[in-house]
Amino acid sequence: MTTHDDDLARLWQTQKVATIDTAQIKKDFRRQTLKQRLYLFLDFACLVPMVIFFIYQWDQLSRAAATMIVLLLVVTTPIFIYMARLRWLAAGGFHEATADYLDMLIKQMRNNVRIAWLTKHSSWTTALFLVGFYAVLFALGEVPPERQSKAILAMGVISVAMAGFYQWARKREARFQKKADELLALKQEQAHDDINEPA
Amino acid sequence: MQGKFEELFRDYGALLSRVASSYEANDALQQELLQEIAVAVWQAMARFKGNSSVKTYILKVAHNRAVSHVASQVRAPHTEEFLDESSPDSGGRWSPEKSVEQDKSLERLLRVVRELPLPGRQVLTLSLEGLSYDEIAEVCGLTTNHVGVLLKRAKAAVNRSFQDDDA
Repeated sequence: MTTHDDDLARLWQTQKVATIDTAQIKKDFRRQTLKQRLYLFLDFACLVPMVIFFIYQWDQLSRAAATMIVLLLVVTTPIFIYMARLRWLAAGGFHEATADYLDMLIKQMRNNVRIAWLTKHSSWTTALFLVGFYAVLFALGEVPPERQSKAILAMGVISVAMAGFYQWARKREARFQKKADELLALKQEQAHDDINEPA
Repeated sequence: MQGKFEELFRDYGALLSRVASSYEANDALQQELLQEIAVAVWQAMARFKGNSSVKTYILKVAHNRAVSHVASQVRAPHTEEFLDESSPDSGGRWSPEKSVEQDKSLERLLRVVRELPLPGRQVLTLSLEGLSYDEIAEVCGLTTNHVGVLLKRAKAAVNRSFQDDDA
């Protein structure tokens, strides 16, 4: 390093430095870890009630209901596994070299967009499935009169909840897409710097 | 674990703060970024295998976290002044005139650092933290030759800025 470089380094070191709130770090660290685990847990927990219902109600299910539930399980299980894998990938990677990290981050953001997209569409398909499920049971006369009002109420509540879920996922998808675009712009900035490298 | 935690941030807190300041000019956002960096560093320390120095590893994690932060903010660089001219002198040994002059130089340096393209900014700030070409290459995932080119270019930008302001 030349004297000028030393001066520059010395000047750099004279910066006013902020203090780190270590108590807050511990809190944030726990919250982040918990959040990542909770999301993973929720992905699988969504399947549990369906599986329990399937096991305990098997004998009482009509052939039509059992077929539809099996079909739903077959379709949703790989989706849940895929989502869990995406979340797992999104959880780490800070120790990569910066150039690789930027690529990984772009990939993660695109994965997050995919997760949000899947969540968004799973909300209305769930509501649609439920309506279709009961419609078939009603049509086949498999819903006893005393359970009909409960079934209609359940459909209403779930449809409203899924509409909210759809909005939430749609906003997340837009946010992650914006972030992916920003990262891509950073990557292009990096590429531009490489292109302009003098021979 | 508790001791290590305190020790880590006691030893490298200032370094992390300077990384945050090279990405953010706004005080509140800088503090927010510093906290995010610190959390990421603490998380990443569990994976530290000792293949490099702790300082190099921490800088790698810190810059990566800062990149994520930059992407989540509006990309236009902040041009607010980092140091208020009336802020107290941190050195204490300097005369008020010299302190004001130093503050202005530092402010100029920070401004040009934040305006540099990402790779140049990282290479320059890592160099200013005393990392060798090899260490910078490891942090950034570049060749040492490329580091040399980027560093030369970044320093030229700093010099140009200082000369322009002096003119």
